[in-house]
Amino acid sequence: MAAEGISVEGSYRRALTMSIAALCVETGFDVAQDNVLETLTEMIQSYITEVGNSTRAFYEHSGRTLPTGRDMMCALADLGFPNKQLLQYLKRPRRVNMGQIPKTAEPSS
Amino acid sequence: MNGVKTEKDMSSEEDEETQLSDSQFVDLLQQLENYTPTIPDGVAEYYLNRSGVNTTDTRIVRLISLAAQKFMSDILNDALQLNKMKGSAQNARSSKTKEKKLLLTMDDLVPVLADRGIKVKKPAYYT
Repeated sequence: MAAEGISVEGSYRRALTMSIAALCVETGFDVAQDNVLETLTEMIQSYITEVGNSTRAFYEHSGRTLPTGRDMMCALADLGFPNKQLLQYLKRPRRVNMGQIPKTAEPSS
Repeated sequence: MNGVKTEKDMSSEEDEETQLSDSQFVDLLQQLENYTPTIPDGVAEYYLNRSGVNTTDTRIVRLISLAAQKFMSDILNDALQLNKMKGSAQNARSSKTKEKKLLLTMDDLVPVLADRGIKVKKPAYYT
């Protein structure tokens, strides 16, 4: 597989695995077993898909084609997610970022 | 909330405790504009598109990454507490206080997930 490269699907999944690993580091773990990471990746993937499906049901039910933040909040509330904790979670002190692309050295002109 | 309530047994008092008010929600969306979640935007957007949500609004994409992250963080935090509790019991027995790396194993994760109603089983013949 490594010689042929990975599929698009595989690369997105790998990015999710890396996010999970970053979250593990953020929580305080130093090492994680491979099957733990794989299990958590599967879980987060199905969670995002499930929230997405539920959101789509909400906005299509109200006759729209684009979701609003409210639709997603309703979908999350439907899954029993305590939305109020999101505000505190946003301000947590130790945060590991993966989404930023590192800046390359600027060309010296 | 202008949403449809499907959980009939959820009382409004309970709702107020767990759900955001209108002003808090607007505040959250504003904060999400300059926030980079751990899950990259592109990845969350890909999985959203796959489930049929056609959006390019970064705030919505970030909201879902944040929710997924929170979900995972809660599980990992519980696993960490369990791991530490087990570790302290072992340390007390052996009385050797060596600096050890924290290892996340399936043994920590399975009870935490079982607590949330998720059953994880080892596949047969898996080494």
